[in-house]
Amino acid sequence: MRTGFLIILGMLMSYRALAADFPEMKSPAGIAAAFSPRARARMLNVWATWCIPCVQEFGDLKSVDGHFDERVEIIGVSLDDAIPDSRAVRKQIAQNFLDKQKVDFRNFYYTGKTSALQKFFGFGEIPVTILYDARGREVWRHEGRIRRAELIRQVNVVLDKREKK
Amino acid sequence: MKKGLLAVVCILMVVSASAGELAIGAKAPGFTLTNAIDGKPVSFKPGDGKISVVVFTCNSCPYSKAFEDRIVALGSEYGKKGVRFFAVNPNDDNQYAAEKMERMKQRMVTKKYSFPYLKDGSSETARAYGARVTPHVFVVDGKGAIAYRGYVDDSARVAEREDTGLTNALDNMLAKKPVSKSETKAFGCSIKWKTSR
Repeated sequence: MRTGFLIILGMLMSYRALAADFPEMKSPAGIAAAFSPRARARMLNVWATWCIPCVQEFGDLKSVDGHFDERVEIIGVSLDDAIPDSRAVRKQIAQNFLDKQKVDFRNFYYTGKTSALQKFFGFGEIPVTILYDARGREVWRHEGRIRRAELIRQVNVVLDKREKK
Repeated sequence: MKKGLLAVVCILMVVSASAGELAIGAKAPGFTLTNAIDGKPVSFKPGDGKISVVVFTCNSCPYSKAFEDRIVALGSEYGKKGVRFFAVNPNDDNQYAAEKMERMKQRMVTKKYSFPYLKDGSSETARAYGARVTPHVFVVDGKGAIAYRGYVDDSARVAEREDTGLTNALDNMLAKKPVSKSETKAFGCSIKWKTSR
């Protein structure tokens, strides 16, 4: 009986270890402040599982994340909550997507108003990818599906500028 | 040579301008599109004295579907006040079968549309308005000028709704007042453009 309980507990713990950390965040400013101060290039990507181009580009984002070292930080923001279903259900759908993708970069589940996030980051549609330099200044953005090669090129521009100084 | 360069620049400027949303006060483009309910053409001729709502929407986008009941209800409510609604589906149904006319008809019947749901098969009407996403709303005044553009509401979650952009514009216009907030940022799924034009 006790052994069975321990096996189940162990399985649950290992599942939690596999599941991506996916905190809720209501404040757009909180998302902007979440980047590591050590990152020389900071990339924000806003996505949702219901957005086809967002899902299509996710593999490229993961690839870019793996291409660079800790000088580059990617933060993803899920807008799945924009659909007015149960929050728990929506979050689980997004969580399942992240787990399936085996994402290494951090992601937040945004629970504030979509219009507030749009206004704060100034975008009209998703996916949107915004690149900031080490000082947090926006240097480039793209609305719509982005490709790996273009992302790497833009990140290198930021890193090169930084290294030439 | 210089004239040629100038001509190219002018063409580029026109193309670039047409790529954006129509500005407030701009003349709304008219259209004749097929209504999904009966396959018959429906024409919109801006400037006929009526306030009109052109809402680009679709069958498959969850964000559009989240607003569908609201749009249908507003079409019925404001229709009684003389406002005309046109729902327009600009998504390419060759790439996305869910956007085909028969599926549009099913939605019209299920949701009890009181206004036309039109197929913009070439996506040209959406391009002419500069629509980006579904749902994306344009309100046209009686003289045929764009009076409001943007979202229906600022949130699909009723409890979080603070700015009802579309009804605010319509109420202002029906009261013959200037629209207090004529531009909002539409949000939704990107339009699945017809590529073979």
